[in-house]
Amino acid sequence: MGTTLRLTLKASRFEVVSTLIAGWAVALAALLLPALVPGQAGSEWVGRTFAAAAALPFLAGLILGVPLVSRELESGTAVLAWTLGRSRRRWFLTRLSVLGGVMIAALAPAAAATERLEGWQQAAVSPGQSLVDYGARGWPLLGRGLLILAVAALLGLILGRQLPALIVAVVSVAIALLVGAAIVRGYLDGRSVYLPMAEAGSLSHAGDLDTGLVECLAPDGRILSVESALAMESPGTTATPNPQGDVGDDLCGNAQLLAVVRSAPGQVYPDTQRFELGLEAAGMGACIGAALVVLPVRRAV
Amino acid sequence: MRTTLRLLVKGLRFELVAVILGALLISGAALVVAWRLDAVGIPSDCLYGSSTGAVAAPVADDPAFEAHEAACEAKRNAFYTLDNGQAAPVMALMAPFPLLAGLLLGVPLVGREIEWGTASLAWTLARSRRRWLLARAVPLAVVLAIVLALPALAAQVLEGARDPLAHPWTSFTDDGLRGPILVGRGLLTFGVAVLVGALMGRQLPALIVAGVVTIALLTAADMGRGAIVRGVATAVRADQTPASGSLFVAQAVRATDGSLQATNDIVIGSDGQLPNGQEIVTLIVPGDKAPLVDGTQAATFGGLGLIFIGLTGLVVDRRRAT
Repeated sequence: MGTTLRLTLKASRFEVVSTLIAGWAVALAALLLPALVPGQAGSEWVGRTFAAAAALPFLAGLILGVPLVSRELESGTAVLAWTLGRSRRRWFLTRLSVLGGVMIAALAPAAAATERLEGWQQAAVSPGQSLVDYGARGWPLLGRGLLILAVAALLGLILGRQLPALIVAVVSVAIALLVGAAIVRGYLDGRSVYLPMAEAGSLSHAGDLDTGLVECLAPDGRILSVESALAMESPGTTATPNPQGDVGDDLCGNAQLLAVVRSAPGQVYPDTQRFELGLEAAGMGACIGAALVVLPVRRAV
Repeated sequence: MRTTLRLLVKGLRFELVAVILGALLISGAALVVAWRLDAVGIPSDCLYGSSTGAVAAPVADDPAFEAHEAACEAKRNAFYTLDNGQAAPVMALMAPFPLLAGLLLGVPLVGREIEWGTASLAWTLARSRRRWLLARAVPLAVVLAIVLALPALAAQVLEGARDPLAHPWTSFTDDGLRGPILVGRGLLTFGVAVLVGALMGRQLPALIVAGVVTIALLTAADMGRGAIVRGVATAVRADQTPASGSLFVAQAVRATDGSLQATNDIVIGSDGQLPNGQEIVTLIVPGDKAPLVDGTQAATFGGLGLIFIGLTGLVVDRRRAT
């Protein structure tokens, strides 16, 4: 075990060091920004830090995962490693676990520090009860990194060459992330409620994530698009005003209609995180399973 | 020579096919979106563009203005929905593409031979290591330039559809995402990637380092470009809307003798007015300077790429083959 650990870290030392530096740099930036760059300039740097945090799992997963098997196959050392090892599967799982550990060491501080940064940026709402900057902070970063590591390792194993595997992995991971984002969006949609427009921007809803699409709520509970609401409007109609008042600055063109936006409450953040982590764990399991199926039948060159 | 080319294409076939496919996809997407924007047929006076002269603020209660706005609404909605939802993302893809293409073709050119241990055989068989490098790097650079020319031209067509008020070749709008700069940026990245690949002799580490070095170089070039365009900027009155395609540089204050000061250096009088006939002006670079600025930048990038390939010749000459 000690030898495998040493050899894995030695073979991937450049990638391991790059990942750790990048992860710790993001964590450090997230921790120090509030003290170092206050004010408007600070908020610009906060945005950059969140962008870097969002990109981190993608880059780390690819550069650690792709060469895991493909480098051995490409350089012809897989033959020796697989002959000396008791089982190819054990060899693969040990190496994957080592790099998974590196990924955790790199991304866990960044995940925790970006949560803290969010708390500083949105002082009015707890980061654990807010969907603002979702996807650029917290534990889903780590889940995403581990998933991408597994996808990249599987593709490296199948293709057996580093750069081609990297190209295919970039495309596959981009598609997987888009699909994942759509699934999470659907999950949030299922928990969304309609809020009057004035409430949507208020302090009590500061952690909510709204669609930004204004719609109109009729007294009978129907939801109309602004276009259809405006088309309903007829001159000379004397309507009874909506009891909650039209807070949409007459957007719906009729006092009976209430301008609303669909918004996911910030309180669902922990559940959403768990849902996304579950998805990522399932994806990771599927990739590792597929790799374990491919490994015994893969030619070593 | 033919054998070298055949071996080159065979060794890099996956990367070549990926880059060519990527270029075709991105160019096709740009042309389709441009065609869809053209198909909207928005009249030029409905665009949120600008005129060349001073523009009076529209009077909201003017019936003629309201009728014009109402007539424009449907086309405007269709045009800008397409522009924001499709044209902008396709245009944004133009920024990383030359970088990726240059890295994918440049890093393995020498780096893979060293990593695989085939460099010793190739360098022993070749008459000279430098000639071996040139016979591989120059044709690949030419192929890369030709392949990148496709999205560069397609992005010009897309820009023409996005901003019909300006000619894409004489406009600074979306500058750096289209035209010859894409080719120049790709060649610069290619040169850096070849050099770093030869120095490190391992593909993935070289890919990371070359990516970081190229981004640093391009950032430095952008800062240098800012200083150059400031030098060729002209001042127009602040209430005058610059022609579409002009590059906004900064706002400044023009004194009566014509000298320009930064806006933070001025002292506003107690009446809230600028003293002694000073006026606020906008520094812009007119769009007709775009070919000069962009052409110079693209040529500089391409030249730097060639210099990096030349430096690789020195590295290859002295480097161990393993």
